[in-house]
Amino acid sequence: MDIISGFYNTINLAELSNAKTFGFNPNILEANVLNIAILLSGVIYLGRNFLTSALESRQQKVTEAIQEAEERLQQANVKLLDAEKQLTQAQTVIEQIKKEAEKTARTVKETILAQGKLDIERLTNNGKSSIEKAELQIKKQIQQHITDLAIKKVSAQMETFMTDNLQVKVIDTNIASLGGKI
Amino acid sequence: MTYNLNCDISNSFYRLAEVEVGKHLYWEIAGFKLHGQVFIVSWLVMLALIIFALNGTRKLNQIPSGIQNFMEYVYEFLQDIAKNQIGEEDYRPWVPYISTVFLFIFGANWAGALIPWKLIQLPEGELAAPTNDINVTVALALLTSISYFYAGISKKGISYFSRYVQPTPILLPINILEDFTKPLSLSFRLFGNVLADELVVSVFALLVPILIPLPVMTLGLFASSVQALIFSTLSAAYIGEALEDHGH
Repeated sequence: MDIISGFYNTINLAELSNAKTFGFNPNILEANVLNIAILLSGVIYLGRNFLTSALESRQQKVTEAIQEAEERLQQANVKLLDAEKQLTQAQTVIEQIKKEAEKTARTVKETILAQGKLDIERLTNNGKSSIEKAELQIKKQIQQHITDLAIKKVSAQMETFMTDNLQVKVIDTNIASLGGKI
Repeated sequence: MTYNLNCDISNSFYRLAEVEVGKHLYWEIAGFKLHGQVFIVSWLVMLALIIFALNGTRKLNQIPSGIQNFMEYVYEFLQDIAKNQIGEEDYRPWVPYISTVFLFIFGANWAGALIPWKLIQLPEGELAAPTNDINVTVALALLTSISYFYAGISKKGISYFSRYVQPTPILLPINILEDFTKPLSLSFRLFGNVLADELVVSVFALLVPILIPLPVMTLGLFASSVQALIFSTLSAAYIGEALEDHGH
């Protein structure tokens, strides 16, 4: 028994001093290959299912988003064209309105000028006629005034100079000048 | 440490399984010792991500299909993380960083869980998820620290440091402490989750190799993807916090 246990001890020592090198470890159980294979296949199966559905839905969403963006681009382009057309139209209308406005402005100016001239003429004529009237009136007044003054002076003189004899002589002279025969 | 389960069946030894923690494949460069197994898996994950990116952007159609569709889906998810945490205005320059952090951690964790690395025997240590090494998670956390400092200082200049005395100067020691606890918590959270899951799976596989470890492995997959999301979301949140204006 001693020899045999001694023999096993030597084998034990030899095993412990065994140096390792790079190589392939054929101990499948130790390397856990079975479990890893099962786990890996499970992961791939589940992962593939989940990933394909997720990736497909993502691809669809991206496609839809791109389509929507392109549609909106088209619509925006159409609106841009419309807006540009409207802009040019609006500009021609603006030009027209401007021209017409200038024309009306000119005609109005001319009418106003003509009207103004007429008014000036009328006013000057009125002024002239009223001046003339005033002149006449004043002339008349002056004449009247002079006549009044003359008659007053004469009556005043007559009151001092006139005697009964002078009066008879004047009346006779007047009758004689009238050619009447007494 | 090495845990050996030896089965004595009629006086002969069978080594059934082995769990190794703390053993690394050491590479020596310029006097530094690197953990080679971490680099190997990291490079493979990076290669996979680059190939995925190149393939997805080769022939771009207006209506996406196939891999381009999947890539845009992933990109929208990542952009949402950045946008929600950082805000509409400054989020765009940070989308690449956040996406890279998320994709690397996610890819590394799932590669570590779903690829039978133990089939490849290394002289020392074994291949596994690179995030089960504290150096990797600390490096990622420090990258996040540098990022949020860079973000804050490049936007606000020196007045970035006025953040430390807001809303009251009494909180100054706590704010300074935060600068250390943030990378600490980020790195340990990720490291702990990944390493713990690996250990649990290994121990289960050690005890009952067939079918029983599966629930724990599923939990591990789920937890590791959540950890990737948390790491990237928290990084974005810290960056957003550094960028935000007074009073939000």
